[in-house]
Amino acid sequence: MPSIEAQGLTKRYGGFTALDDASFKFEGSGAIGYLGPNGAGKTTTLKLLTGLARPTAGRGLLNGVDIGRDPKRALWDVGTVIESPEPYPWQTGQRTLEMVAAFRGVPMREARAKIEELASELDLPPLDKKTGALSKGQRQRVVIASSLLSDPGVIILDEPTSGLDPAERIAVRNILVKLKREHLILMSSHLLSEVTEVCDRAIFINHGKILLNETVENIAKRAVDTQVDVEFAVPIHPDQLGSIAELVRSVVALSPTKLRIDYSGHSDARPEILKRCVAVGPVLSYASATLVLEDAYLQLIGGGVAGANHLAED
Amino acid sequence: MTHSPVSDTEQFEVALTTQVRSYLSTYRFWAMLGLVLAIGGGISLYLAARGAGFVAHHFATATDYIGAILGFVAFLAIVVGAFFGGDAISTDFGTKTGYYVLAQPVKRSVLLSGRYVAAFLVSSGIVAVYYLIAMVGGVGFFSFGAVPWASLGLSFLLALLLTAGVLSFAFCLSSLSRSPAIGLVITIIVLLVGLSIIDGVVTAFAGTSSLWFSILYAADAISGMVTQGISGTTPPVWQAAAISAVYTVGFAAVAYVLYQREET
Repeated sequence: MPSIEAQGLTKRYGGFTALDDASFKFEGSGAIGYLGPNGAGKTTTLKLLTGLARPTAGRGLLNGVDIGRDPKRALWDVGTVIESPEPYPWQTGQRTLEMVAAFRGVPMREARAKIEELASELDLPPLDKKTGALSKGQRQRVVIASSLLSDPGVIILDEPTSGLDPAERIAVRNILVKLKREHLILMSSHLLSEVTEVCDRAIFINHGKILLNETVENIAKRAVDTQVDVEFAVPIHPDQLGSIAELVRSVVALSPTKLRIDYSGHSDARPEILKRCVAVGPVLSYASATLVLEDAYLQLIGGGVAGANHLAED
Repeated sequence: MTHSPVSDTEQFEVALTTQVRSYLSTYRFWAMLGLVLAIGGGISLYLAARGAGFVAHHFATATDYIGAILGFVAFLAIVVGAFFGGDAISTDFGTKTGYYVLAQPVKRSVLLSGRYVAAFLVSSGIVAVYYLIAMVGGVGFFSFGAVPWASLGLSFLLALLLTAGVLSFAFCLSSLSRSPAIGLVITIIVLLVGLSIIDGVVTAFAGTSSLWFSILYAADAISGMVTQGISGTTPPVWQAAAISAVYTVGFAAVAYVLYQREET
């Protein structure tokens, strides 16, 4: 069964602690989002897990194999994209992928068929071009393809859609959603919408410390949602919402038909606000103003460890 | 995944062929090959154009001719070794290539040995072309029987050993640099200038010309064993071979340890 495990992973550079006693374990299939601001320790964790850096303390295990002791066996069933890697610039895309296939023991006939399949799914650039001549986004897609080439059980991705245009991001996202059914994916990302769409679980990290490791579903339950966007079928002025004044903190017009309502976040208030909005005019949509993970992210990263405790204990 | 693990040997072959292709795609390989053909071939063509009398006037025997031609080999072996070893490791850590290559399920020792053998094959190929030119000239201007085959063959083997020693030294320096370009330049400067200065200083202050620690000193035996005979060279052939072998093994070991420890 695919697994990813960090046991007290710690990385210090002189007096600076980039990662402080990080521990987690995931098994089976699914996707885990690894979230945090720049410099939080996300890439450091992924580098330690894939053997690109050595931990000061602790260890990383991939499929039960200690990466520090036997990196070849640990990485055997693992595809990685760390730090927007660059294949050899003088190699064509085809050769780049075939080299990875050869390193990973994929028979060449099977590899070529898989490359064709990935070329179609990821809209890969012409593979007879040297990778050094490709744009950043094109190269990134080749790299993502190479991480999927051997159909690994574990996939570790560091900002996988970085440098991709919106259409390319959607293509990669769709592949990840499909892959997570049978594979275990750990991906860092700045894009909360991406993590929301792809991941079943999220880890929040800041200042090298893991603040929260929870399913997206539970985060949604615990997150305190304080803003809703209401879209009416006809133009509405905020003054028309006088009847809900005691329930809300503020109302801002986003457009003639769309209002953002800031309220206490209490669970009883939300249906009541909707009821009174419907009384004012026909409501087309009524939804949280922010994503669940955005709320959690802001509470955690903005509020530091205290925020994490609050979210975890609520 | 259902694919069975690949042996280190098979992965070594992949690393080797990839690196050879890498060298063949560089300007420096074709420039070095062009230089060797221009120098060796140019001299041969010039002598051929001037005629047998001219050759006989300047070179009494095939040994004289080949010895003179091989005077360039030591420099050539050092330059190709520096060129093909100077950025072999720093490429992984000075660019984002390391994130791609080192995250593959391949032992670093396998990657390193594949690259080393590739660098050796390419470097020794260029050195071999030069020997071939010297040999063809010797046979052409003199006769097959006049060519000192034994000393020429031994000289070639020593040149290959020297090339391996220079490569190990270059790999070692390369592992200390984060920039491929800077690593390459530093390797060339250290090998061609730094070691010469050290040799000169030691000779002046210690009053000895037996520089047992210097690969440049060992290089003198390459053409020396042709012109002075296998038993008459300075340094002796065994010492030149020993120095080259120690460089080959010693610096390769240091390069291996540094490559194992290096982080991206």
